Amino acid sequence: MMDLNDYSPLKHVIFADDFDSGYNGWITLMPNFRQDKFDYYDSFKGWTAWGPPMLSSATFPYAGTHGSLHGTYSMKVASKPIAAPAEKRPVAGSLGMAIKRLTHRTEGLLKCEMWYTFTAEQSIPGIGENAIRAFGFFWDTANASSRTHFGARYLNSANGVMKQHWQLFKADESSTEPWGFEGSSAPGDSPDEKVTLVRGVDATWLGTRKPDGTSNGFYDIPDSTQKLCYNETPDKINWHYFALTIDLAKQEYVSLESVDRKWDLRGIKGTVVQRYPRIDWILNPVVFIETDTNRRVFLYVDSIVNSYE
Amino acid sequence: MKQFYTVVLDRLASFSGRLDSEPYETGWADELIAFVRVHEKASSTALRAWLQISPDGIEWIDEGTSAALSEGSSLLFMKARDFGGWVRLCVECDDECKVTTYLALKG
Repeated sequence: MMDLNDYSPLKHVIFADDFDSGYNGWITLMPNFRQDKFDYYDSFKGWTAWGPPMLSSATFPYAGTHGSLHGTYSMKVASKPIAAPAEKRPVAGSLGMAIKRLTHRTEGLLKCEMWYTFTAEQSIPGIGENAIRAFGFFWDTANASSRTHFGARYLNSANGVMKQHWQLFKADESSTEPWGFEGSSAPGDSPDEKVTLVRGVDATWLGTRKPDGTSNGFYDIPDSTQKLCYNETPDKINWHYFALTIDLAKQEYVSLESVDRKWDLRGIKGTVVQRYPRIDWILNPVVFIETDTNRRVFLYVDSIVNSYE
Repeated sequence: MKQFYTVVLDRLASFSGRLDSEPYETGWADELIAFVRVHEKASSTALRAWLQISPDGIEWIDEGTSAALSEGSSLLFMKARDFGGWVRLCVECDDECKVTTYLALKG
């Protein structure tokens, strides 16, 4: 197992992935296929081409190889150079996403920690800080009776305007604006059962979005403005610490830690929705990044640890 | 043991003309096989593919390896070594076609 010196895990480590040792089971996130042919459900529209993970040396045109915090390689997820306005849902390729798939052992506290950094492609002059709309981490979790997405998203820029605050995956229960998914998303337990993505599921690309980067899928954490280090050129990358802790028994958030800040999130419930067929007890961690302009943006994860107690 | 990873570059992608994959980082790998699987294409239309390499994922140059789809086949492949930190896969087809493209990397 990797060196955990830079981490503060809970009692039991589920996985500790240092990408100098390979991909560790991270894979692209793609839509489900229909049952009658190898093709997507019509309802997934253009949400079919999220950038896959790669082992990155963080090499730049003028600086050369930056490497990672603990060696040479990190896991990079990249957007394509295409973006929709902040008030629109993402388009194919405007997000890069990577997922790992396992199942729960308990329903206690669950913690994700990672060392990561982010930058814009050095393909045009300019530091590109406002080319990055958002990035973050979430778990797709379930038990035998419900499903919840718990996660945190750093809203960096919306339509070119710097925002720099943290949001949680939590649907606005007072919102009557659409979630945005119509039709089927997966096969049911029986042929007659229709499965669809309801409010609270897949906020990364669903929900009604506003020009300022807010959405009815994300909850803005109060007093969470934080100017993360984004150095003087896109090829100077500084590694950041991130930690999110949740309470699966109470189905609520516990805390978010980022660099020098820590937010107490106790009492903030996740958006718990009905059971989905066949995904009982899933525990799927996901990292993602979204571009705000027609410029590639990159999230690099040096290492990531999930733990529970 | 060696590392192995197959990345799907473009999945069920319809195009006519030229399809360049997104840049993919390959610095850890010693060798690769690139595959193009053709799902739909007019039978008489030629389809070819080639590899490009890059120092930075931004500027690209032909690596020298290329392949053409054989008549009656729905799959082509190319092998390469010593490709450095980035590879992208280029596919060209004059008519509308639908492909899935892969890099199978080992190192």
